[in-house]
This record gives sequence, structure tokens and C-alpha cells, in this order.
Amino acid sequence: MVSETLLLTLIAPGSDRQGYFACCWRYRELLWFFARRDLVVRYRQAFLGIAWVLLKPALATGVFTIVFGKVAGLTGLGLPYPLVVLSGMLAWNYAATCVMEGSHVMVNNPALITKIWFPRLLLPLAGMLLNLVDLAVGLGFLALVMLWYGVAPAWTAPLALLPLLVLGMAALGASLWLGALMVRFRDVRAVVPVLITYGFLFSPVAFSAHAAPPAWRSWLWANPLAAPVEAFRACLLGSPFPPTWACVWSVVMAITVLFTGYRFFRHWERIFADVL
Amino acid sequence: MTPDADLPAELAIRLRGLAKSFRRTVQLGTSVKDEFVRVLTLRFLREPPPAGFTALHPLDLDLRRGERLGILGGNGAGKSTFLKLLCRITAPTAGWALLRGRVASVLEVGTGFHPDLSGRENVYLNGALLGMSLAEINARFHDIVAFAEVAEFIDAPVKQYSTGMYVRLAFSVAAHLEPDILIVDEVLAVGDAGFREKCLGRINAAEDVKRTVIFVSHDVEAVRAVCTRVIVLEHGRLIFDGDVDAGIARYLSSVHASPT
Repeated sequence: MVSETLLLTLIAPGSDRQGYFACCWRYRELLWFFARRDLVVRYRQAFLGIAWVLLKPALATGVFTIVFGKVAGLTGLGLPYPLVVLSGMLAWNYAATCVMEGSHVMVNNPALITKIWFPRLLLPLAGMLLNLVDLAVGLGFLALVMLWYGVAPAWTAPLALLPLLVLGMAALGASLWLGALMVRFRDVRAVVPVLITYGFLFSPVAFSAHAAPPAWRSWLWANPLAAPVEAFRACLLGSPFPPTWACVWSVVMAITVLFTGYRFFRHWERIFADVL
Repeated sequence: MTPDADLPAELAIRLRGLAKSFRRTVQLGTSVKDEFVRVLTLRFLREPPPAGFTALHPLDLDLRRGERLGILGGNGAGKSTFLKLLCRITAPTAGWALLRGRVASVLEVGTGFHPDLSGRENVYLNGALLGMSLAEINARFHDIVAFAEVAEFIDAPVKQYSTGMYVRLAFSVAAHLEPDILIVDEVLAVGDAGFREKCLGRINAAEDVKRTVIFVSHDVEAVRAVCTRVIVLEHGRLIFDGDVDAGIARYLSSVHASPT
């Protein structure tokens, strides 16, 4: 966007392979405008507005507290069960929403992609930025619920950003994979919600992994999303942390998915406009 | 692949052998299932290799700074492909192009406009999409709104705008880009005559700042009003390059000879 008059641009097969990050940086203002557009659209028209952001986790927390806490009889590890659910939901919903939106954002914006050039990576990134707002509102709600139950945040609370970062990397990687695939194969659209639903059930979102039978626990940790969700809860509420190996495994997987997803996305990005 | 010669100082754009073909292997709306079945039934062995389709044959072109090039051609002549290559929306399969300075392209009026956003918000979003920085939009915001004649509605959502107002505002953002190379596709087909005149005037005002313009339109009068040079494309090949009036004549005769 800011460039000298004498800047030379080369267009040739493969000339788009270099300088991508520099280009994203030049377009950082556009990233901000994308995020702002979606924020305004999401909240201005919605009748319930900001209340909706609170209502969703509140309802889910109520339902899952009954299902997992009462019916299944899982223990909250000495914490009020709704707190176990709500903390898990916040971390999970952030990642799940990012994947859901990030993977659809290319096929939902064909006019942008076929009519104008900008680094396509901005589209899923803008969604991740926007979803931080929902997350912040949710954390405020969690603070209120903690106050209600008289549970003080653990001293590790600021460290909750780390598991969130791991989840964010995994979510971006998954968005890039699924988003690029969806441009090419429309039936990927049907796969994404299924992945998210099973991901939810096999991650310690509405229950603590430490409450699962020991025989199953290590299987649970094999899911790379399990450790960050549990660690997020542990940081905020002081519940037990996942084992170190599970954390390392998650970080390695998140980086792998992000790196391969980025490469895959970059490979297909150049034909998005031809296919859409 | 890489240009060895520099771009001479008087040139804004140089193309050498720039071409685009599709292998037709990538089709819209195929599913994983289709692909799976195709491989599983070994059908891909029997099928002939996908026929190539060349949207743009190798094209050489030099454009001097300040030249205003009109591109004429029937539907499917390769005009859009040519523009999309220059805008980097799609990648060439051969050849290269070298462009000097800031490039701004308007392939569609109001790309990224959102009906629920106010005129003001849309100006900022659209401006950023077209490559303006926040500082530039701030500096030109007043001019953009005044040119579009929508000052009193600027904070209303654009879904409440009349079509004319919407188009005027969208075009106005594009008209206030100050790039070195401006690429405009068929965007004047919308809007009333008065506003169209104003827009053409705006594009022509580029003359004194040595702005290079690439202009695509089916409207030969608009081309005559704007351009200093014309090329005619047919089936992805350059069939004419030169004087505006001769180019228009060539285009009209080719369209009438073979209505595409």
C-alpha cells in the first residue's frame, strides 16, 4: 500500500512465491478493516447484540453441567461444575469458531477473490482477530461466574494465553487446510461441522480429562487439542495441568498443522480466482 | 523467466510473452467423491488428457508512462484474463510483465461493499482493498464524499442508498486512487450519463500527472474519450495495436464479422 513511485513489480509464473509476509504486513490496515467490518455487521444487526455472546456459553454451560455433571456424574475436581464447563467452552469455542469461519471465508467471498488482489491469508486471520472479541466478552462472563461461586483465579491466569496460542495456531492451520480444500472440493463444507462436533466430544471441554477413567486418559491426551483446553482451564482455575508429554505433543502438532496448512494454502492460493 | 533487461525509464509496463492457459483439470464444483471414483475406477487412464484452453496467447507489449491504453474485444477475447494477470488476481503460465510504480485496479465497482455498513465505513474498507493507506483515505475522504454527492447520507447504511448513490460512492473511492498505473474494467456501464461524464473527466485528469491507464470497455465512445492508444484482442490474440480510431474501426468490423 505504501510504496515508492519507482517500485517495480514483476509478474511471472512463480513470481508470487517471494515476499509474502512483507506483503501481508503492507496490507495490515486491510486486516484491521476486515475484522472491523465483521465486528460491526455481527453486532449491529443482531437483536440480542452483545447479550447473545453471553447467552450462547451460558446456555451451553447449563446443558453440559446437567449432562456431564449430573447425568454422567463426572467430578469437577473440587470446582463447581459450571466453571469446569465454561472455562473449557471458552477455549474450545474460540478455536472451533475460527476453524468454522476460516475454512468458509474463501468460498463465501468469491467477489473479493475474483475481483481484487490481496494476500488471501488476511481473510482467515481477520476472523481470528474478530473472534478474540467474543473470547474477551466470554472471559468477562467467566470472571462473574467465578465471583458468584467465590472461586479466586489462580496466579497462573495470565499464562492461559499460552494454551490459547497453541489452539490458535492449530485452528489457523486447520482453517488453511480446509479453506483451500473447500475452494477445490465443495463437499468439504459438510466435513467441517462433523470434525468440530467430534473434536468437541473427544476433547476435555465439558469435562476435565482428570475426571476420565485412567485407562482412557492417555488416549484422550493423544488428541492434540486436549492438552491446550485442559491447560487453559488449569491456568485460570488452578485445576491439575495435563502431563508434560501431552503439552509437547500438542505444540508439535499445532506447529506441524500450521506449517503444512500454510504451504498447502499458498500452493492453492494462486488458483483460487480461477476456480471460484 | 526473469526479465534480464531493465524497464526503460520511459516505459510504465513491459510484457514479454505473457500468456495464460488452463489445463482444465481444476473444475468448479467437483467433489472428493467424484475424484475418488475417478481414480478408483481407473477412468482417468481411459480419459484423454484434459484439453488445454489458452485464454491469452503470448503477448508482447510496451506501454509508455502516461499512455492511456484501451483494450477492445468481444466476449471471450481475453480482456478479463489480461487484466486479471496485470492485477495479480491470477497467475500467468508463461512470460513476464514488469510494472513500474503503484498499480491500482478497479475490476468492479464497490468490491467489498457491505450493505449493513455505513457509507463512511465502506469507503474505508473499499479504499484499503484498492490499496490506499489509512492516511490517504483520511486525506481524501472529504473529496470522495463530495464527488459522490452523498455527504448527508454518509453515516447511513448503504443498503438504504439508491442504486445511483451506491454506484457513485463506490466509483468515487476508485476515482480518488492516485496510482501510477490505473486499471479500469467496464465500470462505467453503471451510473447515469452526467456522472459518467464526471468519471471520464476524472480518469482523463490523469494526463498531467503522467498516469498510465489501462481501460477496458465495450463502449467505444468512452474509449475514444479516454484513450491515446488501442489494442484489439480476439480469441486471446493481439490482432491490432495502434491508433484509437483505427483500432475502434478494426474492433467494430471484427465484432460484426463474427458476432461472439
